[in-house]
Amino acid sequence: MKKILLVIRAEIMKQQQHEYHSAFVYFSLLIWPIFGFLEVYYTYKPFSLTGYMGISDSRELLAFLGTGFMAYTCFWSMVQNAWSMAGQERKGGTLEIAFLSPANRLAMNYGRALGALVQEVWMFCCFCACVLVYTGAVRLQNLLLLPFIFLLLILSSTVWGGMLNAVFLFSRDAEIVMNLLDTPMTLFSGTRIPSSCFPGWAKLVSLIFPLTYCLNIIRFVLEIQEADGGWAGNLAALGVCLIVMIAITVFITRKAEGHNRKTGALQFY
Amino acid sequence: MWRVIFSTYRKNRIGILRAVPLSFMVSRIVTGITQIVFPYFIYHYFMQGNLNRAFCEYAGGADYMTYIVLGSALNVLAVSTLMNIGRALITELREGTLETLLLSPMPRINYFLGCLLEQTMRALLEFGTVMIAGALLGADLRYFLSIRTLAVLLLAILGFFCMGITLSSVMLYTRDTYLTQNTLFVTMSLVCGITYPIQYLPEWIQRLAQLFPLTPAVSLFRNVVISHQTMTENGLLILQVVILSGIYLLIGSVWYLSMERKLIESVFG
Repeated sequence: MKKILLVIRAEIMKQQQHEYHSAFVYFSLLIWPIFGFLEVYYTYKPFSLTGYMGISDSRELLAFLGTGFMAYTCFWSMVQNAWSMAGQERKGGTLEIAFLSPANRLAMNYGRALGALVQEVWMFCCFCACVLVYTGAVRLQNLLLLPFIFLLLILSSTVWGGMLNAVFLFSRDAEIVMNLLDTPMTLFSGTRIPSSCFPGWAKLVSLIFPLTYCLNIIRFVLEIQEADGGWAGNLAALGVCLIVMIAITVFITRKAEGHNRKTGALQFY
Repeated sequence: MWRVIFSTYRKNRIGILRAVPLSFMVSRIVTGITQIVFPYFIYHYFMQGNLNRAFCEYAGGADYMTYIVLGSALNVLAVSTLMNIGRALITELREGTLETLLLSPMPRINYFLGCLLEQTMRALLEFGTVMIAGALLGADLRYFLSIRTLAVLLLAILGFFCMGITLSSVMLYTRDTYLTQNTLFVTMSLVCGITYPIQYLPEWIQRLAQLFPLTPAVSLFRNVVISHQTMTENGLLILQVVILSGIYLLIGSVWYLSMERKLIESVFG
């Protein structure tokens, strides 16, 4: 256990020293997401809000989007980071070295994910928390919910990120995966549009993404929106989703490593 | 004059054909389609066509989907033109060919025109893809195929090209592409009225938006394609694009020329 924690800590420190040394990261981590948030908010402006899906005025809309963007940023930073880290380690030649070390592979994967998460999202999450306080979704009575929400988000997006890190072990250039994954995840998991108003096929797609359940739970406990199946149902579904993802991660990592041992290469194409 | 343009054209074309930056094209097309799909889902599934009266007034009675599709397609055209022109010189610098370029006696503007000629086909391909996707999602493009539309597109490309020249100087000066281009594009899609009329934004932002050639170009494009207005009815918008183009061209060339001398020293030094 101690060794695993050591590996995770080392991965987090590596990330920190590698990426966050200039003030310009504030642009990509704070300014761009805020602009994106505002753009979506204004996209809703041409519509008259009727109270359908529990959104009847611009305050409730802001709360809805605030939770959506907060959760989305956590998950998205995983995708982006898995991609950029995999690329850099390949170019730097450190990926092979890491695989020669006796460190636990899963710990490496999750450490990488966790390091990125804490670094990348804290600023924007603060912004979202301010939005939630401003809109009245977070009040004194339920202030204690916030740490739980963050815990939930950190846990599930780390598992998600670990899986992506494993996927990126397979390929040299997976930027297209990144582009193709972003839109469906944002669209179907209900970050900007409530997924419960979608037709059946779209709802079915949304069940793949763990982000859907996270958002359902968060919005339910903050009383922004009703959730189908209540928080318990969603939590159970999220649990199943996480276990499946961990299984996939283990499977892929083993497969990639086996391939590496046989051929010496860390990619399939 | 034509010799420089065509040799630049051929040089760039060969580079593109041998190593296509597919990921850039894919990501621009995906961004464009995403910008249509989100409003589509909001419009059809969430708000069920419930537009407010202000939209009707601001958009001049335009159909919502058509309004969105035209904006997003023109935005894609703007982004790819700005990116291809803006990155031209700094790519030469990174690839190590800028020295040779600076030593040659060709007029610099012809080099840029060659780049423009080369990239326009690709940019129009991206533009066309987004338009087709938009037509499939129900945009009304009855008046799209006309001489007027062509004239508007050419005018818009002129505007983006001139802004691209300034952008190129900015990029060369800061030696950075990532932050500059992304900040610019995020700002443009927020303030230029791509997925909503800019009248919803605060007044001072509306005034700021007039500095981007995309803002008048997109209203002009909509007026011509949706309401089938003539060019003379839109004299003011045309004038604005032309004046902005002139200003950007002037800033870009003066800045570049003053930088060129230092550039030779620093590149060779």
